Amino acid sequence: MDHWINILPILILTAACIFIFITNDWRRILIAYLVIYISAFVIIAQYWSFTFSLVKLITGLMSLVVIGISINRYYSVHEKKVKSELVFRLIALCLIFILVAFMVYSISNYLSIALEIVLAALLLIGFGIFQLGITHEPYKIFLAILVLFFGFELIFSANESSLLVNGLLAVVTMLIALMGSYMIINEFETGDE
Amino acid sequence: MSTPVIYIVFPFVLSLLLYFLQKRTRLMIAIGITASILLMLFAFLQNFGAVWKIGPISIEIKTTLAIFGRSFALGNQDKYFLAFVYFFAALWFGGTHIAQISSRFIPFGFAIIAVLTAALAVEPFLYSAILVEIAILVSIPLLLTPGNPPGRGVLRFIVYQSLAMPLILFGGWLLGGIQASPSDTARLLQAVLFLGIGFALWLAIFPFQSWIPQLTMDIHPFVSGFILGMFPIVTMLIMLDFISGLVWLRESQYLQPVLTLVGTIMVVSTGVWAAIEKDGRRLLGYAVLLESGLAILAVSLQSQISVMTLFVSFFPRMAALALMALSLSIFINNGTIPDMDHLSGMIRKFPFASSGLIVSLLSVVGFPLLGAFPVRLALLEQLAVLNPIIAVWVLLGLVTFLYSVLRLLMQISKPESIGWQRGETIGQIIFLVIGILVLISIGVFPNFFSGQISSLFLNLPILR
Repeated sequence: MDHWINILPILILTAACIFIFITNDWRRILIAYLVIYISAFVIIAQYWSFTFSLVKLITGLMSLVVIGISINRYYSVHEKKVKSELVFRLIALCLIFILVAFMVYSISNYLSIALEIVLAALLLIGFGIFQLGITHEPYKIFLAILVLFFGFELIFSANESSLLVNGLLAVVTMLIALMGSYMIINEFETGDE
Repeated sequence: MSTPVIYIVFPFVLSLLLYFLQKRTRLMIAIGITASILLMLFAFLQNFGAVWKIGPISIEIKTTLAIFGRSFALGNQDKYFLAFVYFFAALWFGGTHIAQISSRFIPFGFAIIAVLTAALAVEPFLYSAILVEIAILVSIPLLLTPGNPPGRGVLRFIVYQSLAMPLILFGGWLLGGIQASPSDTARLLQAVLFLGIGFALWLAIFPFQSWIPQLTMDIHPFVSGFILGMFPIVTMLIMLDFISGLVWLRESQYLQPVLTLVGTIMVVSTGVWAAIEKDGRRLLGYAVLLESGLAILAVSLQSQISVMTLFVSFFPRMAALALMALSLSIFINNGTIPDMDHLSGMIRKFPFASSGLIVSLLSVVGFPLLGAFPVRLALLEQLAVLNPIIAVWVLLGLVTFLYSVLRLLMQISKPESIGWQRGETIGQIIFLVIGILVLISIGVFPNFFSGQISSLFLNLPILR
């Protein structure tokens, strides 16, 4: 790592990922996602230009707000997780994180990207894929896609600084949030097709 | 004036305008059909890159549009796609009222077509992944029914299609880096692997195909026909462009065996699953998978005639899908679940919808004298020359699919105590009869049909 202090945001990011799996409350889940975005921003702001990093942060936060408003209006009940489910989730997530820890150094060298960025990106991609595989709730699926894409952007935008690509990726992020929010609202809407 | 403005900007702006006309359904349908037909005729008749003369006015039709340093290009090689897409868009928009689906289908349909056209037109190829993802996201409102939670198929569609974007972007980026040092075979292989998995997710290629029958169960058949008609064809064309653009890839010794194996597995496994399927909506999904498998086999042959066969096959494919979707919509709109139990004896109650469903499924299989028969025959002939064992396996897959269609036919034509009735409206009958006649005419007069559209096949992708 270029700066060992970066271990702190990475630990916070990891803790937020684990926390999302433990908690049932959508408010806490959204706060954990917020923490993920801010932690990743702290890392990328050291390597990319501040404005470019800020664009990624603001797009992510805006998408969280869009989804959050829809959940706030319509979701009130949340299912409780049983202990065995929690244990399974935590073990699986830990295995993914261990796998990431083993791969990160070689990937960082291969892509010539800072270790901190690759580690944060791979943790988010691993978490996103795992979340997509086990959840059935639409809002969690959309949040998982958001975080998966954010993880991918951390790697991709480190090398591809094209304005059009990054602009389109921001459009995709916002569209995911809008469609996720539409899906939540639609479920509780009355009326015929 | 440029072709990207006509085929990307104009339909997209029109979709935004039509969105605010949702209350005026008839006007919206009329605008939708008229605009689609005009765009189709323009692609069919106008030479792109030349001057367009309307009386004393001359307008130069450029083929490229530059945005932020990147270009969107729609030349004469894209005329077939544009004419084809807008012909079927007109049909689908015309069927909106008949299939009794939400009028928002038309604005969203236009937006999807505009974005997919942009995906096909953008250069470099890398950006098409993002545009296809945008089209997928724009299609979400069409997949939902107000007051109902999204089905598992819808969620899987979003997840599987979304996963493709990062893989293709990353694979494309790796490939871009290799062009400086093409001898780096390890990196080349990694790039192809990422792109291959990305395309497999897009095209629902084995083993990523499970969401298609689930999606067709979850959403209205008319919408699933449109979505599963447009997306696989556009992504297939993007894949063809990609293969055509890389000489080392199309000359690779591994491309043909891999595509042949994947295509054969898709055809055989789809045939087997269809043989034990009891629901007509899921059969629509399997029909799409069977078509995708056969399309991959056509690509695997890597000859000019196989590419031509593939392009010609898009027409009966879409016509069969439209007829199948409309027939299933009629059953569902009349409160009949289109499965084996509920369809029993339905030929007496819905004679035209039942015939439409059976004819469309028979056409997909390549039944003699129906739309897809000439292209299936051509494909099987070419496969038999290249590898007779593969041809036998493909034939086996088609026969098992035919078995499921015959099973459905037996069930649908079971003699029931009720007499003959007519459950369809006049408008529905007209659409169904036209659909059946189109499929029969393509099957009976294949040369006449391909002759009419041969002018659009001047610049096909080169795969060898």
